[in-house]
Amino acid sequence: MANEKKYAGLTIVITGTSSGIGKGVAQQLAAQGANVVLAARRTKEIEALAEACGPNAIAVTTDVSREEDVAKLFETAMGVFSSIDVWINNAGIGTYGSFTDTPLRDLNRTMEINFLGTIYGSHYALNQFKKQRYGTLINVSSFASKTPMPFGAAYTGSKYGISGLSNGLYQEMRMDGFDDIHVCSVDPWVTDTPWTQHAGNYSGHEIIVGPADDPQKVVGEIIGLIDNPKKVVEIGAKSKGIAATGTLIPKTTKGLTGRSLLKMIQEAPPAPPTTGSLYESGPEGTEVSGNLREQLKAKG
Amino acid sequence: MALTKDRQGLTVVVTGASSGFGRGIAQKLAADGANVVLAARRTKLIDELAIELGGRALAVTTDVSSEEDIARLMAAAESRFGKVDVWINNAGLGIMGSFTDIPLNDMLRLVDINLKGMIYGSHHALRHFKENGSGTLINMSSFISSVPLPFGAVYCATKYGIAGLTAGLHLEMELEGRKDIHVCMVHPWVTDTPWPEHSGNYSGHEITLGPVDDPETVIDAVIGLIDQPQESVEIGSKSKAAILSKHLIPVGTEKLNGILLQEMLKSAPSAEKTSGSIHSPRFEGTQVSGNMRNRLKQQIGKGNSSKDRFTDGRNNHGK
Repeated sequence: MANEKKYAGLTIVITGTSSGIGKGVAQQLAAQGANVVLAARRTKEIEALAEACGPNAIAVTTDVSREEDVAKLFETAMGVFSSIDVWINNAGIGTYGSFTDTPLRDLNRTMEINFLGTIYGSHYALNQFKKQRYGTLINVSSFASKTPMPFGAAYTGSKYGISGLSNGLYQEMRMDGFDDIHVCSVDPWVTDTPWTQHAGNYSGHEIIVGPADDPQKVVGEIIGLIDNPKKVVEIGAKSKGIAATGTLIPKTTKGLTGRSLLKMIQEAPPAPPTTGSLYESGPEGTEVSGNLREQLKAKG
Repeated sequence: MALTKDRQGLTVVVTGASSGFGRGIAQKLAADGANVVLAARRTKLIDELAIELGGRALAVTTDVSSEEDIARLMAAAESRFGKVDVWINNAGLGIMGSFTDIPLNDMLRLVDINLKGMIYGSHHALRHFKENGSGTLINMSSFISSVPLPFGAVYCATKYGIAGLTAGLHLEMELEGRKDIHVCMVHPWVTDTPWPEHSGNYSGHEITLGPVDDPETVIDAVIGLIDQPQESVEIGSKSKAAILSKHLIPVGTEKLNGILLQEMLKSAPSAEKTSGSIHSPRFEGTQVSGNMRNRLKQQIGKGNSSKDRFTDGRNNHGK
């Protein structure tokens, strides 16, 4: 490890910290001395994490799809730490299944959490960054921001939206002359976090897709953006491949990704329809990693 | 005029039919004999249009951001014409201005109209098409669905979202083997419809951008998809150039578009802040065409230095 307390004095707000990539990012940043503001719906999980992270961590119960919650998150962070250096819009959820089989309210909710949540977070963060004249906004998108996830059209729409927003905001900061305000977006490939347990699922099968990346890889890339802000980072060989080929030969890539993912889903064990964590966040899936890699291995 | 087709018996639902593309599409299809279902918030305008188009047109007051309205629109279309063959999600608005200056409430509403409206329409249409075994869904996107728009970041994000949603739905129908259900999207360049009058605007300037395309080009392209469905159609030399060069030299094009648009906005006359038709529809802007071409001409008349930008689609991008 490099300098242990490298991020001492930096205040970082992270949404979606009750598990997965958000939790991993928070753990590492706190270990390196940052003040971390942990946001998620699951109060118990983030309070336990704050305790584990030490005195420079606070937990703020937040549903990112509610503007009031994001406002409260922002105000609490400012009240305790007086400035915000980095804001990471990481919270997100998947909804899987045929578009016509998925209830409209679930499709709506996916859009509200993923897309509106990112708009709210970006708005509060950039308002503050403009006052400070510096800051880094990191929006977690997906490989599905460039190529459609089959049987995840609303999810895909929300991730395309996050990319459009982030790219537009990136340019806006450049043109307004805010050279020290950075807007970054991150496109991971399928990653082994508890997202498969949290997703809404109307596919009739368990969500077992891969190959799945190690979440620590994504955690590392996100933290890397704090030192070296970039407009877009594609993570994982697959995601990079799509970014490169998706634009040149979109049809082929889409077809390949689509067909291989569809085949994997159809081969997975049956599962009843579920709204997952769309409305209420359940107790399942509280670690950084999920069990996707194990499931893929068992499948052989 | 293009040749007139016989579209008798074809039922087409068009949202955003009170003005702009939607109005033009409805007029042409009705002239070709199709049954047209006109959806918009402005009841008076679509009622008048339905009368003008004769017995095969039905007006249904619809706010696309309301799921109940979309459900009612589908039910009305079905009960009057039996089934729907083509559903065109055309309604949409813009908001211009710095992201931090635009009220969150306006952005939320824009997402409801542009993106949720598209999800509602697509959901009702595709469920209907699956029951009937066939149908064509056409979603109106924009050239900014793949080229980011500074000072219109949420507007552009809703169009990115539409592109992602529609690409996903296209793939889904393909993987499900639904050969007779078509999902298409259309990416126009800046077009001279009343959209600048209807858009939210916090930029401090009138929305005067160009060069603008004639709405007829877009209307013909949309109607063309009924006969020859395609996943994605880019309209206008500029739109094609933007999408093509974005893929080859992304940074260059994005900057070019961004700087160009910002310069144009700044050189336009000043304007009061407005939420446009975001929260409730404005009276202004009831025709297929807007007055952008006139305004651009006036600016050139005043000796604007960016003259070449406003006149011809071929002479600034991708030199």
